[in-house]
Amino acid sequence: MTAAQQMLDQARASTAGCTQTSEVLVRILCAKQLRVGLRSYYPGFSVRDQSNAFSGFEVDIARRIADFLGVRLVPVVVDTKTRIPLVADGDIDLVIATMSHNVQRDGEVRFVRPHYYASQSVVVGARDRTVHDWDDLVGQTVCLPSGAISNIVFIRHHIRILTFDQPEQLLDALEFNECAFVMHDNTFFAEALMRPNWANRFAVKFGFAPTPWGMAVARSGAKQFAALLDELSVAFHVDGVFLRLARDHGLDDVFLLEEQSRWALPRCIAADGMVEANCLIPPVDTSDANDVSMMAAQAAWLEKAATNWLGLRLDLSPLKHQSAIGLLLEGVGYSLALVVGVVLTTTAFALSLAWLMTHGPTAMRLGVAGLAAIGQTSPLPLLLFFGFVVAGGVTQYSGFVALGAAVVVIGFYNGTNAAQAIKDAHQAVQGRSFLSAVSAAGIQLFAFLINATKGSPAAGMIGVPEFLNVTTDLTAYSRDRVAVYLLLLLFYTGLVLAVIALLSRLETWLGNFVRRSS
Amino acid sequence: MIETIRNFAPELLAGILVNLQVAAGAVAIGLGVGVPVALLREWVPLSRRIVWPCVRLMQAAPVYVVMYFILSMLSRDLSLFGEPAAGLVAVTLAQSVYMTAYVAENGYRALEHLRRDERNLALLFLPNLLRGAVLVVMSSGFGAAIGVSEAVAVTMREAARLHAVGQRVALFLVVIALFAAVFGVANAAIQTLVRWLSTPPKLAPLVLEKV
Repeated sequence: MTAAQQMLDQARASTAGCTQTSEVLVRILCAKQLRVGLRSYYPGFSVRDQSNAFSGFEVDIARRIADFLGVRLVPVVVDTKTRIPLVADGDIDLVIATMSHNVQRDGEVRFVRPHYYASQSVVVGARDRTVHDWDDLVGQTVCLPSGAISNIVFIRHHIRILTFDQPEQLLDALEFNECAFVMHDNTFFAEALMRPNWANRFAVKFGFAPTPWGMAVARSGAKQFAALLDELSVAFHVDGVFLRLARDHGLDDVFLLEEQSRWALPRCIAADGMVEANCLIPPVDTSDANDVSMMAAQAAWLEKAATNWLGLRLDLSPLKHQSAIGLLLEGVGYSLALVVGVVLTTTAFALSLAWLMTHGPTAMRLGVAGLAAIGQTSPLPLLLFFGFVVAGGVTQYSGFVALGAAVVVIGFYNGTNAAQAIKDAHQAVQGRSFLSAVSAAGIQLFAFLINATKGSPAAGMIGVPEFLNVTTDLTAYSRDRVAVYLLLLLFYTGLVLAVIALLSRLETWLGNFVRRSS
Repeated sequence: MIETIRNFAPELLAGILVNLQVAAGAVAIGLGVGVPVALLREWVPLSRRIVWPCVRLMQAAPVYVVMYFILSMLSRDLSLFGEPAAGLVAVTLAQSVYMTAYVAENGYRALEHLRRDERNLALLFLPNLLRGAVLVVMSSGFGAAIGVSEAVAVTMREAARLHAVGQRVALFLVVIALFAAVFGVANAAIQTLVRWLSTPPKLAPLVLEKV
């Protein structure tokens, strides 16, 4: 602790006047507060209760650091998508949020070493499902936390993925049969596996990618703070602080015992008090030399050009990996399938409901009119989630099932509105054929077909792996996504304009056809 | 189930209030930008070549994607009255893009009717505006995807607390029925307003022209 104390004293000496400073440590001491990024629900590590109070191993570490600095702890909720951007952009001072340390993340933030914990990713599923390794999962759908670095491993093994923003959603999805398998760190499942009811139904199938967990600070402007935390981390291992805090929360302590022994060895501390680099656990390298796309070099050149010429931070990392490109293309395929699907189901619902409302027996007309009224007055997102719950209840949820549910729901929502327009037109053209009514309501019908196309990206809300959803996931840990979303906006707007152009031609053809027939 | 709904009702009402806030913000921005755009198109004929494609593009842009695009541009620590507001601002601005195009289009039609001295038809701008506001309230549930605590997000959270599929389905049906009742009344009010504003009923002229 002596070295850390010396660093702190030096930083305190430079806070005189607390003028503008770029060093994070001095800023913390001046502001008398330490903003730490913490998870809101990760049992044992960090959980926020209803009164907004945090508890867990990582929370206790944050408190210890704040106490050492003599400042107030300000917890800030982060998730897998926000933890790196927030600390990298200086919105928080430190992140302690179940973050594994890998080579790729080293480019974004500065990790504190030695690490404070370690875990491995595990696949969990129902006990009666026989799965031993990757090969057994090929073609299956596995639910994953969005933004996790190991997600790409699944894609490389040709396994379909569904991603969830909140880790607790994974447990819920497993419980309700919406996912046959879920993946997360073994630490996440520790609490659930201790519950007999849960452990009798679900089990760990296999584990992979053991990784050390690290606290992290910004890469720039936090040199002193990072060095102090390195020293503090050694002291916490040697003094058994990490070990005690982990045991307080019932966490596995094998890694911490090993680290305590390691850092107690004189060979790991140099004569000047600094840590020996060869005692530090190296970050994991998740890159795959075989997974480089043909356009990786061009993507890197574009990124550099955008920065140098336009001052833009463009992240084209998905284009550098063949597996990610495959996923993006699959996403485009899903988006196109969605558009075709919703146009067809909207037409089908519109015509069939309108026919029943105008030609069916009275009881049928009333029933269908009631159904149509529900479609016209219910928010689309609510109907989508309703479809998600029902689909998950009746079958094993997957990307295809999600696609089917979304196509039916979006078609129903827009089809009921179009059916009402056809029904109104049928009253207006009394005595004429049903086709005349359809033609008369053509503008409204096409308006709802366009509306259905515009609504199709919302299918991502219930897990359809369409283009927007996939891109959001692949760029989840990217710091700057404006350019990516601009491209997506152009793609979807172009798609809608293409549908408008097609429908305009169809409208002209339909008008001519009706004129000829009458 | 009744107990669940009783406990859930205040949260749902608070969520619906957020939907209404989004709609109010989007309508205000839509009017603030859409009306001048409509006036520009009416008064400065040369502007039509620029204004019309812009309105068309705004109409074609999917609100859900626009929402993500705007969110990516906003500062993550954006707050309003001390509360995090990046998601709320993103969904409001995304809806206001749609609303601006909607107001510009309907406003221009109203101005055309006024030019032809068709006051009653011009006044249909008001029920159309209400219809647009209802649509925005209904689609503001997209905010659930980016963490806005509106009615759909609140319903999802409540559903996650229930431990049987049947209970979840029942909860959704109750909320859908509530929305159907509220928006059913809103739509009926709009229809009444349209009837009140309109001159003696005309059978859709567009229909007769086409047939």
